[in-house]
Amino acid sequence: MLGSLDDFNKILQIGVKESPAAAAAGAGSYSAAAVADATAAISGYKKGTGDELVVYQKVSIGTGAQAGNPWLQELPDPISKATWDNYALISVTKSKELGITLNADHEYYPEKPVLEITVGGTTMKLPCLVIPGMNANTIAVALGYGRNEETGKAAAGVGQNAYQFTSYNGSNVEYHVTGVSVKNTGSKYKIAQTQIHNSYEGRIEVLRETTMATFKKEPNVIPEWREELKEEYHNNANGDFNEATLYPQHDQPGLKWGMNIDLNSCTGCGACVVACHAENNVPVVGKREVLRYHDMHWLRIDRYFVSDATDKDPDNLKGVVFQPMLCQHCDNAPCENVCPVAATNHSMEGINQMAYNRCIGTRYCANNCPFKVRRFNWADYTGADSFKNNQDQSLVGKLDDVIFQMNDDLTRMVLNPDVTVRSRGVMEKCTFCVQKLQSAKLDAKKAGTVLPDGSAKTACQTACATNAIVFGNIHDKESAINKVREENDQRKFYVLEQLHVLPSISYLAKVRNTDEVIEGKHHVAGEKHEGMPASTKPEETH
Amino acid sequence: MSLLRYESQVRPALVEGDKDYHQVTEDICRPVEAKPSKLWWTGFLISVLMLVFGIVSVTMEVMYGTGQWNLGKTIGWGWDITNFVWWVGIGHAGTLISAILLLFRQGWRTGVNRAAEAMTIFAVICAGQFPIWHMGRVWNAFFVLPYPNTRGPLWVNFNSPLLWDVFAISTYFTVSLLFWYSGLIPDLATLRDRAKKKWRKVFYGVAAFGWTGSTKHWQRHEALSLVLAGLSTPLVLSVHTIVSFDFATSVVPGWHTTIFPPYFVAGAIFSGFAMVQTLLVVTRKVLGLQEYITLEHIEVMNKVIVLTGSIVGIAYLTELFMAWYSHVDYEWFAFKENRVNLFSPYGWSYWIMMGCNVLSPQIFWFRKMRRNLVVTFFMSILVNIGMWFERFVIIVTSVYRDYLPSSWSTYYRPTIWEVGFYMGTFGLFFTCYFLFSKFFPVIAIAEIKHILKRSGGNFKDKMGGIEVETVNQFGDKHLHEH
Amino acid sequence: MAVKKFVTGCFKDEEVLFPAVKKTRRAGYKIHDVFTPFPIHGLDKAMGLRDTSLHTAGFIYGISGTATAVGFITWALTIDWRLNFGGKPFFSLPAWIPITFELTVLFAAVGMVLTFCYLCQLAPFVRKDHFNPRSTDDTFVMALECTDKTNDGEAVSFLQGLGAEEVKVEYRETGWWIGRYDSEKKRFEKTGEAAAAQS
Repeated sequence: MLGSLDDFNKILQIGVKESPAAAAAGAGSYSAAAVADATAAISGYKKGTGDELVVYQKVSIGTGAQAGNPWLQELPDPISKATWDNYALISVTKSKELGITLNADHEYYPEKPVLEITVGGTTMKLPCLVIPGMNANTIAVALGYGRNEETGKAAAGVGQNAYQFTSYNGSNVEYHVTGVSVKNTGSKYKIAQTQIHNSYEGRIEVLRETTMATFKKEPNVIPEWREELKEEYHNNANGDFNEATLYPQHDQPGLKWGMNIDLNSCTGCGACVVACHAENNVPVVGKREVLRYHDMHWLRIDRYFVSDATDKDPDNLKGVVFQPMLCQHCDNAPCENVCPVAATNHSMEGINQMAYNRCIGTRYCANNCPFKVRRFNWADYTGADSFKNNQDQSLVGKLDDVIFQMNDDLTRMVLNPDVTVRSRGVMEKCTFCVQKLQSAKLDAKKAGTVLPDGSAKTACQTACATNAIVFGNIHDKESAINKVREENDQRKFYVLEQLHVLPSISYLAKVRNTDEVIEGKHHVAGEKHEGMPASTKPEETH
Repeated sequence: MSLLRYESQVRPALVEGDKDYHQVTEDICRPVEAKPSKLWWTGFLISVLMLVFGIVSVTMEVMYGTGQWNLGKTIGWGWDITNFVWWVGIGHAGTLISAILLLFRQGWRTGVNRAAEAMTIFAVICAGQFPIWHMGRVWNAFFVLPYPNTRGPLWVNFNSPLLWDVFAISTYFTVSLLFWYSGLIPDLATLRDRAKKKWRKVFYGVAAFGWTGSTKHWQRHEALSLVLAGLSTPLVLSVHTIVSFDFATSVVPGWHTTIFPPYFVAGAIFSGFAMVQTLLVVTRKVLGLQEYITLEHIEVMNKVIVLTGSIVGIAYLTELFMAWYSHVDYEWFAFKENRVNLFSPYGWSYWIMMGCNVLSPQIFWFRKMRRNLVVTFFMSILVNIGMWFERFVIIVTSVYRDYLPSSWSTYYRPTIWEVGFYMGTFGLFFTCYFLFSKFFPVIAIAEIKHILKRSGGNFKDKMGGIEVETVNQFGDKHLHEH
Repeated sequence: MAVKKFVTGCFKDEEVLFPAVKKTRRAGYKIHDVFTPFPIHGLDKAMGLRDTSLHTAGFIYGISGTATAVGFITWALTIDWRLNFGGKPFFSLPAWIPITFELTVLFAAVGMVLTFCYLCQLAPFVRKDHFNPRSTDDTFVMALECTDKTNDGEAVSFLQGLGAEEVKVEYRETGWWIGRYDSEKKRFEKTGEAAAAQS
C-alpha cells in the first residue's frame, strides 16, 4: 500500500501520505466561491447570544490525562501563572461588568472572586482570573480538572470538571458554547499564583522588548544603552574603570559556563521548568504552600503583559513577554558575600554553587538576590529530614497530601540519584545542572579530548522545543553560546546589568512582530495596567 | 577635701532627701531584702507564662521548619529580623549610659546605669534568640563559629555581614556582661555583709567573689571600669553599625544605604532610652527609689530621646531625599511606592514609624512634658512601637517589591508562632528583669555613695553657702584650714 | 596564708580618713589596707600605692586580639582554603575590619577582667577574712599591720587620736580560701592566745 521504500521515506519526511488524486488536482488552485462559502460558514457559525465560553486544554495537564503528575500540576500556567487549579479566565471589560474592582488588594491577595457560570442547565462556580488581552465576552475554563483519587493523589480534588461544558454535535466534541450567563457570587476562593504582578513597570534593566518596526528603525538602541551604562559607571568612578570597583576580578582559567536565552524564541510553555524539576529533584510543594510563596522552582518563567496605558480598551494587549528566570550565576554574586558559613561560593568555572550540607538557612542570600531565584525548604517537602514526624503540622503550614507521596519508596524512584535531595531548612537554587556538566567533562576526559561544544547541556536547554536556551563554555571562542551572543549583539542584554553583579546569563530582547513604532529613547511601550498599583514612569535618561 | 567635691548649685541634686552612706545602703537594699510583693509575683508569673508561650512557638518552628512562619520566596526576613534589630537597638542604652556617659563624666548616670545595663544584657539575650532560631537548620548553628573541623578545612565566610553580627553581638554581650558584673561585685559584697539568712550569705557570698573593698582593689576596679568604658564606647557604636551593615552592604533597594550606620546607632539610643524610661518609671515607683531615680534623671533621658528622635527624623528625610536625588529608579520606587505611598500595602507602617519616632517625641521640647511621668511612660511605649515599625519598614517594605516585578509579593502576615516568638522574648526579658530587680540592687550603691557628697541634695545645701562668699572670705575660711 | 596581727580602726567620714592616712604613714606605721565602701579618689596616692598597670595589660590584650583576627582570617581565607565569595579577592581586608575590631575589644575586655580578678584574687566561692562587714556599707576601715616593733597600745591610741572609732587589736588571715560565707570557720583558725603565744 505504501509502495516502495522511497515512497515510505518520503511519507516519513513530509509527514503525510498524499493520495495521487489530490496531487493530480493541482495544489494552489484558487476558488473564490469556496472562500466565500467558508467565510459565510464562519460568520454564521453559532452566533449565539450572551457570552461565549471556551473550554481549553492547559499546556501543563492537557485533557486531564496528565492530571496525576504533581510536576505538571505545580507548573504555573504560562499566562495566568496559576498552579493547582482551573478557573475562569475573563477579560478586564468583563470584570468591570461583574463589579470586580481591580485594585491592589485584588492583585496582592490570593482570594479571587467566584463566578457562577450557567450554560443551559449546567451551573458551575469557579474563581476567576482577570487576564488582559482576552476577548471581552469570552470566558475560558481549562479542562482536565476535578479528577478523583483514582487518577492520583495529585489530581484528587484539584479544580472542577469543565467537560460538562462540552457538547457533542454528532461528529465532533465542541469545546465552546455560547449563551453563557455569568454572575459574581461575591464569595472568594484562593488561587495559588506564582506571580502576581503583571507588568514589568517599564524597567528596561529587567526586560527589553520592542516592535519589529521600531527595531528596524533604530536597531542599536540596546548596545548603545549598554554602552551608556558603562560610561555612567566610568563617570561615577572619576573616569577610571579600575576605581569603579574596590576589587579586581578573579582569574578564570579553563571553562566558564554561560547561557543565553532568546526571548523571541521562548513560548513560555514551561517544559524547561518541568525538566528542571525532574533533573534536579526540585520538590513539589502543593497548593497550600504555593499560596504561601513557598514554591520551589529553580527556574521560573516570568510573564509580563505589555499594553498601552493610554489605550482606552484595557483588553487591547500589545503582547506578552516570557522571560525564563533562573540563577544568573553572577561573577560578583551578592548572595555569596552574605552567607556567614561559606555555604555558597563561586566555582572556578563561574558557577554560583551551593553546599547544601553546609547551609544553615539564614535566607540572607535569598534576600540579597536581585533576581529572587533562590528557593528555601520551608518545610520537609522531600521526606529527607533527619527528624521524624515533622510533616504532620496542623495549626500552621499544613502540607498537602501530594507532598507525602514522596515518602513512599516507589515514588522516590523518581529522584535523580546524581543530585542531592535537600532537607528542610536548606537554601537551594539552579546549579546549571552541574552533575550533567561534570559527566560531560568526565566523558571528554575519558575520550582524551577537549570538551566538545554542546556536549554539556543543562536540563532546561535539552527540554526547550524552540532552542531558546543556548549553553556552553564562553572561553571557547567557537562555541555556540559565543556565536549567538556575537550574532545578536543588537538584542543582547543582561538583566540588571547596572548592578554590576556580572551575570553569566545573557538575554536576547523580545521583538514583537508589529508595525507599531514606539517613540521614546528606550522603546518602552506603555506599561501601566488596570488593577496595578501606580508606579513610577521610567525616566527618560539614565 | 570638701573643695574637691564642690559642684555648682545650678546643677540639680542627683540624690534627693537627707541621706548619708548608711541610708543609701538601706534604701537600695531594702527591696532586695524584703519579701517579694504580690505585684512582683503577678508580674513575674505573667512573664514566665509569656516565656513558655515563646518556647512553644520556637519548638514548633524547629520541629516543622521555618515554614511555620509566613515568610516566602520574596520576603525572606520578616518579624524575626525585625525583632532582632529592635531588641539589639534597645540593648544599646545601658552600655551607652555606663560607658559613654562615664567618659563624659555625666554624674546622673549613677542613678540609672545599673538597671540600664541589666536591661541591655537582657535585651541582647532576647535579640540573640532571633538570628539563632530563624535559621532553617538551627541544630547546625555552630557552623558560624570558626572552629577547627574535619570538613575540608572549612572556615566561615569572614566577608559576610551576618558573621560580623555573630562576632559583634557575642562580643557586645560578653563585654556588657563583664562591665555590668564587675560593677555589681562591690554591691553584692554589701548585700553579702548585710545578709541574715543562710541562703543569702551563701548566694551573695559566691556572687561577690570575695570582695573586701581594699583600696588597691578599688584602684584596679576604677582602672578596669574606665578602660572597659573606653572599649565599650566604640563597641556600642560598632554593634548597631554592624547590624546596619546587614542591610547597608546588600543590593536591595531600600537596604543599600550608606546613611544606615549613624542612623541605626541614633535609633538604637533612641529606643534604648525609651525602654529604660519604661522600666524605670515603674521601677522607681514600685521599689520606692524616687529619691535616687529623680525627675532630673527622667528629664535628662527625655532630652536624649528628643535629640535622638530628631536625628532619626533627619535620617529618614535624608534617605528619602537621597532616594529621589540619586535618580536610581529602584531606590526611588522603594521609597515612593513601597513606603511613602500611604495606600500601598505597607504604607501605613511607614507613617506609624514617622508619627511615633519623629513627630511624637517633639513633645519633649516642653519642660513640663519632660517631667511628666505619665507622658514619659506613654511616650516611651510609643517610641518603641515606632522603632519596631522602623525595622519592619526597612526589612519588609524593601524586599517585598524589589527589582523584578515578577517576584513582588505582599502576602505577609505573621503566624501565631511568629507572634509567639516575639511575645516569648518579652517573657524572657521581663522574667530576667523581675529576677534582677528582686535579687540585685537596681542602683549602683557604691557609685551613688561616690557622688553623694558632691551631688546629694543635703550636701549641696550645706555647700550652697560658699557661692555667696567673696573670694577673700572663701580663702580665709577654707584655705588656711589645713 | 598567714595569720597576722592588726590594729584596726573605723572611720565614718572620708574627710577624717584622709588626714589620718597621711599622719599614720608619717608616723611610720605600716598600713596593711584601708577598706572602703566606695572608691575614694586619691586615697591610693595618699597610701603610697603605685598606679595599676591594668591599662597596659588591656592594651596588650587588645593588640593581641587585633593580631589574632587579622592573622587568622588572612591565613584561613588566603592560605588554608581559598574561596571566591562574590568576586572578592581572597585577601579582602576591608571586609574583615568589623571582626578585627570586635576581637580587639573582646580580647582586651576579657583579658582585663580576668587579670583584674587574678590580681585581686576574686572568684566565685572565694572566701576572705573580712575585717569589718560594715566596710561595705558606710565605714572606712584602716588596718595597721603589727610588726615586731609595733607597740599595740601606742598604735591603738594613735588611731583613736586620729578620729578612729572601735579601735581593736585583732588577728586576721590575709589570704583567701575556698569557703562559704554562712560559716564562720576559717581556713587557718587561731585563737588570740595561741597566736599571741606564737609571736
